[in-house]
Amino acid sequence: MTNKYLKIMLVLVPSMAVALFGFNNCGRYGALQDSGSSDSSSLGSSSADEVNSEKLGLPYALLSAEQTLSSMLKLGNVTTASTAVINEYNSRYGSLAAGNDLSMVNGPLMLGSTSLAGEVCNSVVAQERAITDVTQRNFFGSINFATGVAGISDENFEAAVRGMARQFWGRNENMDELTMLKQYKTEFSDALAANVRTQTASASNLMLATCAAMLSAVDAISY
Amino acid sequence: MKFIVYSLITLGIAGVLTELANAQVRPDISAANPTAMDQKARKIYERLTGTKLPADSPVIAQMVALLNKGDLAGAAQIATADPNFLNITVKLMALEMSTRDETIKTPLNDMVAGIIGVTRDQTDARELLTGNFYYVGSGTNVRVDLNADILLSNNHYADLESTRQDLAANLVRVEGQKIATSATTNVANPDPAGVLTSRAFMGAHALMGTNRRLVEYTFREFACVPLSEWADTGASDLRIGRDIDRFPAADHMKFLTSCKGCHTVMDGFRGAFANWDFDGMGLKNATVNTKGGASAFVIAADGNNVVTKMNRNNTVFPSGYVMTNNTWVNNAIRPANASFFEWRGSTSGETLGGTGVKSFGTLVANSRRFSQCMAKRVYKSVCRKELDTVANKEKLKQWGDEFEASGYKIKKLYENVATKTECLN
Repeated sequence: MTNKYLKIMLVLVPSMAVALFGFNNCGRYGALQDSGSSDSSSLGSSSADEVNSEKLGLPYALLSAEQTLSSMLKLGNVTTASTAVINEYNSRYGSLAAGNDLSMVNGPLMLGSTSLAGEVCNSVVAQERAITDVTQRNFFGSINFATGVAGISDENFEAAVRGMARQFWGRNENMDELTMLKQYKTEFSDALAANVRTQTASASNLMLATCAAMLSAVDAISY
Repeated sequence: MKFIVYSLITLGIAGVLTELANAQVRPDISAANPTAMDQKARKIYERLTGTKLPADSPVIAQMVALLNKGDLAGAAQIATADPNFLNITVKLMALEMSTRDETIKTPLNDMVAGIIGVTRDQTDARELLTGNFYYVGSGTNVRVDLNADILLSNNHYADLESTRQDLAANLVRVEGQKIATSATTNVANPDPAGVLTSRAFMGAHALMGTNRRLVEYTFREFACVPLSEWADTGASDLRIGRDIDRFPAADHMKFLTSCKGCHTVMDGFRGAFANWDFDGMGLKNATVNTKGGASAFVIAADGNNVVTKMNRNNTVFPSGYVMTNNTWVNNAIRPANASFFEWRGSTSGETLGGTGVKSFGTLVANSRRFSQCMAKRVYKSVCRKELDTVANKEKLKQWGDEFEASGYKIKKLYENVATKTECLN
C-alpha cells in the first residue's frame, strides 16, 4: 500500500511541477509580462543576461495572439471568421503570445498556432473547393480535389506550396522546405489504403494539413 | 470650401487604399523572390498594421513606387490607411498602457478606445490627459447602456471586442465625460482629464490604495519614467502624508535616503486626485457623489471633499501633511528633474502647482518629456525594439519635437517613426 502511494506521488509531484511552471500562460487574460515591477517602459538599459528580442534589438518580432488571428485570416483571404475559428481562437488564446518577444515561443504556443491555423485553413480549403473554375482559385488552382490524393502530382503539389509560401511567408519556399513538404505528402499518401487515396476527402485533408503547417510556421507568425 | 474638397479627396484616397489592403490576394506562383525594396515596403506595412502581408499584395507595388521616389511618408500613409493600424497596432500599444500589469492580454476598455479615437481623428494627443470626451461604438450584440455598460462596467467595450467590430470605423467621439450617481443616473464629470479619468485608468490605479499609484502610472505611461528614476531625496517633504513612517525600522536615515525620494515627488502631485475613488464598479468623485460610508455610489470623504483614503493611517507620523483640498505641488523641479521633464506652461506658476486632475494632466502633457515618451512608445510599438534612450537622447528629442510640430498627431508620429532608418534596420 505504501509503495503504491509512493509510486503515485512520484508521478504526481513532477506532473504538478510541470503544470505549475510549464503551463502558466493559459489564462484568458492575465499578467504574463513581468512588467509590473520591471522597467519595461523605463529608460533603463538591459541587463547582461537579458533574453528579450525587443531589448536586444533583433529585427524580428513575434505576432501576439490577436495579431496571429488577424494575420491568418488576412493571409488566407478569409474575410469573415467562422464560429469554429473564433471558438478555436478563444480556447487557444491563453497559449498564444502575450507580446511580441521571440522568447515567448514555446510548445503550447506552437501547438495553439497550429490548431488555429488548422481552423483557418478549413475555411480556406472550403472556400477554394467551392470555386469550380479552378483558374479563379487563389491557392489550389492546381489541385483536383475530386480525384483524391492519388490524383495530385508532385507538380500540382509544388504549385500549391509555392502559392502558400508567397502568401503566408512573403517569399518563395526554399529547396529544403519543399523537400520536407513533398516527403510529408508521400508519407500521407502511403499511410492511406488504396481505395481511400482516390476519395475527395483525402485531397482536402492533405491540403488542409499542408496549409495548417505552413500558416503556423515561424515565418507566418513573426514579422 | 478648399478644406472640404481636400478632405473628400483624402477620404477617397484612404477608402481606396483600405479597399486595396483588404482585397483578396492571389499569389503569383511564377514570380521571383521579392526584391530588397519589396521587402522594405512589406516591412513598413507589416510593422504599421501589426499583421502579415502577402508577397503579391498590390499595396507593395504602390509603396515601392513611392519609396523609389523617396516619398517615405507617402508609403507609410498607405499602411496607416489599413484598419489594422488602429485595430491592432494602436490598440495593442494602448492596452499595455491601460493596466497595472502593462499587459496586452486585457480586454478592450474606454482608455484604449480613447487613444484609438484620438489617433484616428488626428486630434492633439495632449487631449489624452486634458480632454473632456470618450469614445463608444455600436453593433449587433453590443450592450450600450451608459450607466450599466459603460460607466459601471466594461460590458460595452468587451462586447465591441468579442463581436470583432472594426474599431477604426465604428468608434464615435462623445463630448462630456460622465460619472454615475446611481444605477440609472449620472452627472457631468467635474474634473475631466482625458484618459486619466477613464474607467480603465481609474480602475487600475484608484482602486483601494492611497491614490499614489495614479501619479506613479501617469508618469510611467505618459512620461515613460518609473518612479525610481525621478525620485528626489533633496526635494521638499512638506507634502508627504501622515501614513508614511519617518522612522522605518527605527532608522530615520532610511527614510531620508530611500522612502523620501519617491514620496517628495509623488505625494506632491497626489493632491490632484484628492476627490477621486474607484469602488470596483465605477469612478466616484466626492464633489458629485453622495458622501458617507463607502458603498455603491456613496463615497467615503470628508467635508472638504477629500476622500478618506488620502488621510488614512494618520497615526503613523501625525505631523505629516494633512490633505484638505485637491491642490498639488510640483516637487520635480530641481535641476535633474527640470531638465528631464522640461516643464512648460503659459505661466511659470502653472508648472509649480495647480488644482485637480485636469491641471495635473495639462502639466504632464505640456512637458517636453510627454512628446518624447510618445515617440518612444511608438518606436517600440512599430519597430518592435527598445530604443536605447541614453545613446539616442538627441534623436528622441528630435522625434518629440517633430511630433509637436505635427500638432501632436499620433498617426503622423507613427508614419514618421516607422520610416526612420533606426526602425527599418
